[in-house]
Amino acid sequence: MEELSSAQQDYLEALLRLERGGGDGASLTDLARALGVKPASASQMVARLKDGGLVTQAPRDMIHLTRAGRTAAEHVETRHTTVREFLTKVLNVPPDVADGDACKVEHALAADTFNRLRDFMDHIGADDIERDNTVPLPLMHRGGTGLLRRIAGGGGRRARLSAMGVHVGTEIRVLQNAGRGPVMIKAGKSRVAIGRGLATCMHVEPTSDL
Amino acid sequence: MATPRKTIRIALAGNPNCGKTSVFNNLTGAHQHVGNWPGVTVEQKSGDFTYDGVRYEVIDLPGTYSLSAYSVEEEVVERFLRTTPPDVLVNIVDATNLERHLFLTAQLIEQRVPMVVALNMMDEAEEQGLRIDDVQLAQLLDVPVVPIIARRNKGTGQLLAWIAQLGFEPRAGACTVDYGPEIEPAIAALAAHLNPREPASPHMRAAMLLAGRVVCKTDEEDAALQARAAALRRDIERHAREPVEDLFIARWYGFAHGVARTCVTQDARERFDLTARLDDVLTRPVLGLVFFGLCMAGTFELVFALGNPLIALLEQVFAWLGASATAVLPTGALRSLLVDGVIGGVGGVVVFLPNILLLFLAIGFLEDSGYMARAAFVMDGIMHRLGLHGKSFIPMLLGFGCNVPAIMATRTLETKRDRLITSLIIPFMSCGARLPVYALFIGAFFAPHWQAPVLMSLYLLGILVAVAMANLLGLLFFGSDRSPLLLELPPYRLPTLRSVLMLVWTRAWSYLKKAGTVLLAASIVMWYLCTHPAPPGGVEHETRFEHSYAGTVGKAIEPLLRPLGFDWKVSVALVTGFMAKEAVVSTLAVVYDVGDGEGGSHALQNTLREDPVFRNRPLVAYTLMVFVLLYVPCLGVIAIFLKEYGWKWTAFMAAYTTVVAWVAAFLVRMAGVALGF
Repeated sequence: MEELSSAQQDYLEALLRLERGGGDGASLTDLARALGVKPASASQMVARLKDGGLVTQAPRDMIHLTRAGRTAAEHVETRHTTVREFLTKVLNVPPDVADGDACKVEHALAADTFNRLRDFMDHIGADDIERDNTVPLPLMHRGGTGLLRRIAGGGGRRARLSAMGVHVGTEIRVLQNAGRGPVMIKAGKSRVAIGRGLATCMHVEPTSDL
Repeated sequence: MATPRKTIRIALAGNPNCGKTSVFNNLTGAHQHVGNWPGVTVEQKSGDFTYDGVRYEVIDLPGTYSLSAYSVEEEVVERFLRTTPPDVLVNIVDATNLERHLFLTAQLIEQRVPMVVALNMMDEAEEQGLRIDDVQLAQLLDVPVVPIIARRNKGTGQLLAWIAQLGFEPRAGACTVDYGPEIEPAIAALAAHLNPREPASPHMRAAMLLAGRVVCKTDEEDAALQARAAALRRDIERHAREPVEDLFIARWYGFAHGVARTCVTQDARERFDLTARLDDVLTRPVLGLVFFGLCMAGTFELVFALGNPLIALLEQVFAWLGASATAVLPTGALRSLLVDGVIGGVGGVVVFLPNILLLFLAIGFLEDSGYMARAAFVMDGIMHRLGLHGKSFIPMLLGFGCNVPAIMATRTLETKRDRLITSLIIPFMSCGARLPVYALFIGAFFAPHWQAPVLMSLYLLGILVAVAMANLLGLLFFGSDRSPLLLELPPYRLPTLRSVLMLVWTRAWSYLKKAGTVLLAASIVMWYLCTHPAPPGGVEHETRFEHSYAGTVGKAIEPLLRPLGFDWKVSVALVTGFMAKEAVVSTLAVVYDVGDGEGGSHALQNTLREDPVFRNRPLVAYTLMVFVLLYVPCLGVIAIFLKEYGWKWTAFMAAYTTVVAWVAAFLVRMAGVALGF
């Protein structure tokens, strides 16, 4: 996968979308239009992908992704969605901006960086996040207050936090947050220190400035 | 009235820091420590007392926030209540934070064990402007509620009266938690299929089955019942789109919240919040670390500045004892045994008692004031880089007192990985028993203004090695999976004199007991090994030892220790140090034969200074201290390790600490030589 250029990745991703959009394969014209390039350059690139065994195209016929091409395209797509989700769900970037940024960033990330990003998103349970005005607890500053809205992930996190007086729905105040290390909060009358990893799973709706 | 049983069993349950241990002490008068960081009572402690002619057994359960079995403590409590329910359960709750403490009560109340709620810290609640309607609380919970102030032993009489009453006329409350429209129908459906002969409430049994847990044996064996519960659980989860567990949590919380709201009123007056003010400063990123450093430095300064004059005093006492014994007894084996073996050996260790007392005084104060949890918070950033988290720091800090309770305290950590790694590096924490060795050598070889820094450097070296090993062990054996930090920061409280002194007293007593038993035995054995077989007539001391058993053992391992600059005498001392590290001192006293006459460590220090191995060589003394710091910990640690982790890890621990000690001591020596010391 590594040897694919970012342009090739874009082509594969576009082909995948066109195929999903319906119909049997994609025509060269559709592909060129989807990517905003001239049909001539599209034709050149398709030929190269064909040499790489990623697409098939009978002369003057529709372009199809091969099995390997589909895998590669899906891989690229996952990178795109993961980055976009990170931008929208964690950083609260508006969706259109996030989509554009994701297109640029997805090619630039090293495989390891991407894997870490994906693990992080899994860890905080990003799939469950619906759009709302919460932020992960570590983004709150010292002195900030907010309502605890969600605690993502399993492993008894909610049970353990609840038993210590930190419930979903209660107001919490950030007592210390050094930018790294644990976060200290007050929930009700309990003062609790929470490791940063766990704090990232706690989504707070700020009731003061961050 | 029911016929009185022989013994009535009471169990104390409650959150960490609820004052459970104080209640335990008030009831039993047992000498046990009251801590202020979560999990001081990891052990299941018990005591007993007699009241009105009846014997009561009290079990102090570990502090837990719930019964969900997410930590070792919760498992212990949950299993205890399930398998061996007590006659009377005393649930201690903190009146200043009633809502949170009732979360546990909500889970205890359905155990259907006769229960009394002790409403503790009523004085603090009053100071905070909280008014608690204990009559209403008793009505809502359907169990007796007794307001108490455990720290000042108030309300114990009334608590006892209720315990006695429930002991003789068992009555469990009928209060149940309402689990709501999603769960209650399923509970009812399931309860119909339960074997009615079990004492536990069917409501709770059914509820727990839905949560995927079994409460009693008959349920455990009933596979059909569990399959039914699993099916119902899936139904509920599909319907509510939430894990059943979360629904339960919400209901327990709802129960606690509702009860607290009804029973607690707070006036609107603004109050000075000491804990908030202190935390605001003491837990700041840089300031917090600075303060923590000062605390540690202050502790070491206290131990020496205040301890040394007292040590001098004790030395005189032992010198006098030795002199008197020499004067009274005729020359011979008995006098040699008493003066050289017993007074010289045991005395050489007992004189360091003031240092140890002061160290525990400081640790006890830090623990009981609530600062220890803050230290863990402040250190979490650093600990994280070791692949551990701040909570591991508490056992490590305790390790400075004694490694054995420190290893026991690792049970507060949630995963086996964290427990094992922390336990494996605790032996590098310089315990109180190593202090006499440092005191001896530092006093002998370093100028007064260098003494505190040298001591500090040893403690720091221990920490550094621990850091390195934590990283290495983590990489080698355990991967990087660690459980998240979750630590309660209890309110700052001025430690009561009683509780700190109790801690100091128990530690002092165990130190003296050790001196009186293990060390006495070690000293006598050493004396025997050093004086037998009898030397050929009229030989000087030095050569006499070379012929003895001790000399033979020392000589046998000397080649291994030669590269570190140690001779056979030091080697012997290191061997006996395995029994207990302070035995290094007593052995040296016997080997150098300085137990008689002027006595005490002063004489030993003079002798050491003149010894050819050490002569004018602080480096050799320092190398030795490094080795003593790091090499295989004492028998006590080995024993607790064996109990906790089995023989394989114990063998590994013993071997790797010794290898680490040798390598570190060798490097120190090489570096010292290169630098021209």
